[in-house]
Amino acid sequence: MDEMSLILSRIQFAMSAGYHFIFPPTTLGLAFFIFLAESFHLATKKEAFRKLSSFAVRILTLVFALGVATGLLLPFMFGMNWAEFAKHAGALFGVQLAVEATVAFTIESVFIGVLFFGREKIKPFWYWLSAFLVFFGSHLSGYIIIAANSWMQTPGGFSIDPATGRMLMTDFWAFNFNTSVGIRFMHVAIAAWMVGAFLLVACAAWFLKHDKDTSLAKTLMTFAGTIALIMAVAQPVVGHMSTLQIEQTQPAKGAAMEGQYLTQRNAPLFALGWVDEKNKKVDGIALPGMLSYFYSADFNYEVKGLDNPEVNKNGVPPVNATFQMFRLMVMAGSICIGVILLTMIFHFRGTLQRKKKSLNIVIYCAVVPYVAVVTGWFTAEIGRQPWVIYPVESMKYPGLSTADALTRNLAPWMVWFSLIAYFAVYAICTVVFLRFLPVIVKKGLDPQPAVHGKAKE
Amino acid sequence: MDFLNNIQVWQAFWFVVIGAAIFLFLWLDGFDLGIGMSLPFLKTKEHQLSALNVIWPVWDGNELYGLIGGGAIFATFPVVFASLLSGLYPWVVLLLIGIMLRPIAFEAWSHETGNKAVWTWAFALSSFLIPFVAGVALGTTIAGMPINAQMVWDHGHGFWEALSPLSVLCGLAVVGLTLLQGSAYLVKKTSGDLQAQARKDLTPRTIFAAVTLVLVLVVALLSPGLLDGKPLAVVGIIVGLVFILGGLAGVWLHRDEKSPEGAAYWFSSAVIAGTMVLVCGVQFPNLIRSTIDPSFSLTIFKDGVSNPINSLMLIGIIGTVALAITAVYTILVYRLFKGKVDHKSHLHY
Repeated sequence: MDEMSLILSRIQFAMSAGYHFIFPPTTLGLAFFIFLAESFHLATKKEAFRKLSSFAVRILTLVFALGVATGLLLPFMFGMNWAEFAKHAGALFGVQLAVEATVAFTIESVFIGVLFFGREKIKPFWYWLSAFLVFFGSHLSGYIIIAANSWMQTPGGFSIDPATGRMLMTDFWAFNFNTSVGIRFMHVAIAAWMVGAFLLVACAAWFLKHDKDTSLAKTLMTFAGTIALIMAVAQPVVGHMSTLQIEQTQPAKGAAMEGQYLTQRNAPLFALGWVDEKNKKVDGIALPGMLSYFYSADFNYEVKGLDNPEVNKNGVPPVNATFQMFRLMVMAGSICIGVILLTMIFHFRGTLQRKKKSLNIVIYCAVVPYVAVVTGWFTAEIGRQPWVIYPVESMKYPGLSTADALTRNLAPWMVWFSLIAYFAVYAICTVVFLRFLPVIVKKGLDPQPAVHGKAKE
Repeated sequence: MDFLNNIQVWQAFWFVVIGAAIFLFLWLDGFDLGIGMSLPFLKTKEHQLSALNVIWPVWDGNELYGLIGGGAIFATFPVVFASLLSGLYPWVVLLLIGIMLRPIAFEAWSHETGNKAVWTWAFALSSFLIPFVAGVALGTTIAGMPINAQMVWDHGHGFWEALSPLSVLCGLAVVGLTLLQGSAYLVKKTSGDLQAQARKDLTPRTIFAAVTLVLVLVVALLSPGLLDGKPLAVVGIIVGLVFILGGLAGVWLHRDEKSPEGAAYWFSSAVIAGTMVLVCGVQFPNLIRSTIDPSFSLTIFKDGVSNPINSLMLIGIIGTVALAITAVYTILVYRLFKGKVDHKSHLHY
């Protein structure tokens, strides 16, 4: 195994999965909004809901294309860079990805075509059904992928072939309903609905700021803002339940997230801090006893730290990186709550449109949920190192380390080549997204029909 | 139903399914890749827009069959998936650049209000990279890779060993097939000047496809040992050639204005079907040939190449049911968008 190839492959996968993870949550969030708007449209026949749904569909075209473009890469990478993982877990992981492609992604991609082009061609009920199927397909797809990732964190439903050392599937449902998937999927789904809702709230704010399509913009603000507010407030509760889950099944990740080196009662919670990994301590603002309280509503609860053999028996992840990523996520989530709460207060008082500075903040706040999503993802993935598939003591499964998952005989120049190539493609993606998202938004909430690609000539 | 408990039945089943998925990919995505490569050479903006409108609602559903083919290999023959992708690493990077660039260029083209030329060429380039590298990969599995007894690319063999004359010719042949399919589909779906140009393109493209396919076959037949231990090779070659030659002749005879508009498309589809019959016949039961020792070749029946029977069965049942349902709604959606297309189609609200 080549050390350089390993480092480059890790950077490449982190970059690719992290970058990809910008778009699918947006797709899920917009699909959720479109489904709700179409349902209201079908029930009330109000044109405003149809117009808002169409607006979200126009954004979805761009987001979906970028999500597909950046997502198709990932399964290939398992064969290219992580061939040992592909062979070791192919009987389960490969099957899962094939289920995703045939069961979920097909529904999503076929009916998204109907949403884009079918409004005039089919009856309202069938259009609503297409919106539902895009919502259902995209979320099923998300579930299947999160289940696969959760299974790597809390494996189950397999045995080991003594002849080859490779995994055999024993229970497909134990794979799909593994210990951590329920709470993790809730956490991701709510994050996705936040991402979509904050993006639409930002659009509404832009229209209010420029006094364009004002009445529709206010409806959009009420509608998307309500979703954003509910989800932003619900998210810390679900996130908290997820940390309780992590403390049970991946104690090293949990201890790293909180920077707990010592096993102690009355364990402090660090609001902010810096981990000194060499001297095994954390400098920062500590709230005494709060971590014990968070874990069990009891200040006397003993939190197991990284010094505890029960915690460190499977190795320790990079502590400072996990710690900081977790804090960034929490901070971003907190900013979301504050901003959306004030926005909705001003909105319902009817004073929002006059506050130009506040509107600017709301527009730029669309970026913040993305920060939360990506840093949250990094917390989960850095925190499970050094394992790509976590060991399971009760099954005598020793786990698969990231280093052992790497393709044998992988020449570093090849990984350099792919790393640079993918980076260039992501740069193009970013340019396209940032350049054309405003173009789509600025056409307005109720534009005159324009021929594709020939708008406003 | 005793035969369902026989793993060899499932391994053969999956060989056929993977072949069928590659066929569906070349057949359906073939026309939009071919149209994509033609895009910079269409004379006017209206023609370009019409051509894009032809493939707009369906292209990503079509590309899905390629993904299903790849996913099926991962789910059923993970050793092949790992050896193929890591062995062809630099080439797969080119394929992925094509796969990623395509939807981006598509979206950018539609929103760009200034000069669209960059996106036109990006779309054409990506539409070339996908069939070319897919063809090279297919050719490499036939021509062989330095697979050792441990079922991996043997250390000490450079990556360029994947590039045999046969694999490069296969790449060109697949490009030829998609070019032909693209023109034939444009004839079917458009009218006026654009249709006339597509008809004219049929002549050189039929010749190109014929020449590359013949070269592939000649080089394959001349390669020593390539057909050893392949029980279906002769049948595959004969049946495949009937479809290929019949299809090429059909396109050639139906390239004028008097012929039915859909004829060239269906004949060109027959060429693709024949090609896949031939490839599967020549390959069975091999998935990747070893250039070191024929006994190292990764065949579908070899111990440890495929997943165990329960995995093959599970994804076999789920996949079959799911794809049957998908086929129904895909046909319904195609009917929704059937008929002639021009640059004013797909008003986008």
